[in-house]
Amino acid sequence: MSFFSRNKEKIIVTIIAIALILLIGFTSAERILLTKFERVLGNILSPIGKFTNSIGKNTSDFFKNVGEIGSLREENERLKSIISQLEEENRSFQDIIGKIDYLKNEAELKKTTKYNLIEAQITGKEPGNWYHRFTVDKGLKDGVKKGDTVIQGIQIDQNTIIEGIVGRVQDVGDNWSKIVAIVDENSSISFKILRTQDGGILTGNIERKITGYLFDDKADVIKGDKLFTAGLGGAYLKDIYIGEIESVLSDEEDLMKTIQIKAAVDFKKLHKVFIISN
Amino acid sequence: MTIFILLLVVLVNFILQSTILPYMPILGVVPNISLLVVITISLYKGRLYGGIIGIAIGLIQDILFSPIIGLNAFIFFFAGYLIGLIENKLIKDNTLIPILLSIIGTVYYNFAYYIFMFFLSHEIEFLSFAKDVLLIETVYNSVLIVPIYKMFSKIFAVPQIRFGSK
Repeated sequence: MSFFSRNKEKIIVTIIAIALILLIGFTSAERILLTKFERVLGNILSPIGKFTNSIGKNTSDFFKNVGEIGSLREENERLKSIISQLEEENRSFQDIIGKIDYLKNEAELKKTTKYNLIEAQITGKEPGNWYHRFTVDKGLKDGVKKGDTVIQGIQIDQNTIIEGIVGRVQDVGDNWSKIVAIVDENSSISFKILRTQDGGILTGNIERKITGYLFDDKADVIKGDKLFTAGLGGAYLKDIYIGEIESVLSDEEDLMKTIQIKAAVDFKKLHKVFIISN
Repeated sequence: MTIFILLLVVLVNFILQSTILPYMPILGVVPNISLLVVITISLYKGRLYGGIIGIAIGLIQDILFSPIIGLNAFIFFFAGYLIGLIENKLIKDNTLIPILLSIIGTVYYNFAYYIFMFFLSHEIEFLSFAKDVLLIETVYNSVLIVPIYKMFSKIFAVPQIRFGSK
């Protein structure tokens, strides 16, 4: 008895040590006896752990965020540049989608045309809603000559793509040229009507419409007749599609028949044209 | 009062060690605040409290996170008990004492852990472990024990002086 009371502490420590080692031994091997007890304790302590864990995570996230402010700014810059890059890409894709009709026409035209075409990108236009006159990025070096006819691919029927007239080259520089569209008020063009072979002259006007008169005031023209260039005077090449008649106005006093033309080319949406070089 | 404070310490230590500290490791090493708390408490309160706190913290840690129960409890118990044995021979105002003890304690903890793991047939390369983890953890712990020691000196020492009771 005196041995126990004298060495009480040592005995307790030894017992605790042995108990803990036994615990280690049990739990490291087959865990049958203690699993139930452990589960109960875990059930009690886990919610506390969960709760404190969320607090701890938030707190540490805060500290982390404070520590990351420098890198955040950097990352922000990086992401911004990525976003602008993606937007740029997106724009170009949308551009392509928007141009899909034109691109289809262009490809078809290149296949079927009998002319020698120079592809030209429009680089500038005179201020205004319409492309009256514009500049393109091809010039003397590329074989463009003054007076050349400028066309674009036009879908005339369901599947036929033909050359539609845009205008002619007015001035030409080394690597640029100025083009006058047929809707320009200074531009005149001789035409013939496909169905009746009647001829006449078309001019652009200030209202951005093409009007013209027929040489023969008795000519039998109706709305929807198709007009092609006649090639008189050599200003434009022959047999290039212009458009259709929108309305016919008879003017008895002037002894002339005036017509209004709906041009085949959409002059508001020009961005690429072809120059016919001989 | 002391028991209440100790319970609070166990809980706060548990929260810190298990939730916040794993998110801010330095060079991939997490400091062992539990060990530092055990060392500090046994320095101030002696072997009885040191041992009890060591068992309590160790068991909680084992049950919740470790596959083997009793390992941390064993190590922490002996850390608390042995430091509590020599506690009255040390000058507690000197900050160098806890720093020294934390270095010894960290080495002891990792070495004991390694021995247990060895006998439980977990193969761990001790040399690479010592080089990569032990060294950094020792430095980390020896730095961290200073604020912990100061904090506990306020909790335990000041009321005793002010009220003159124990």
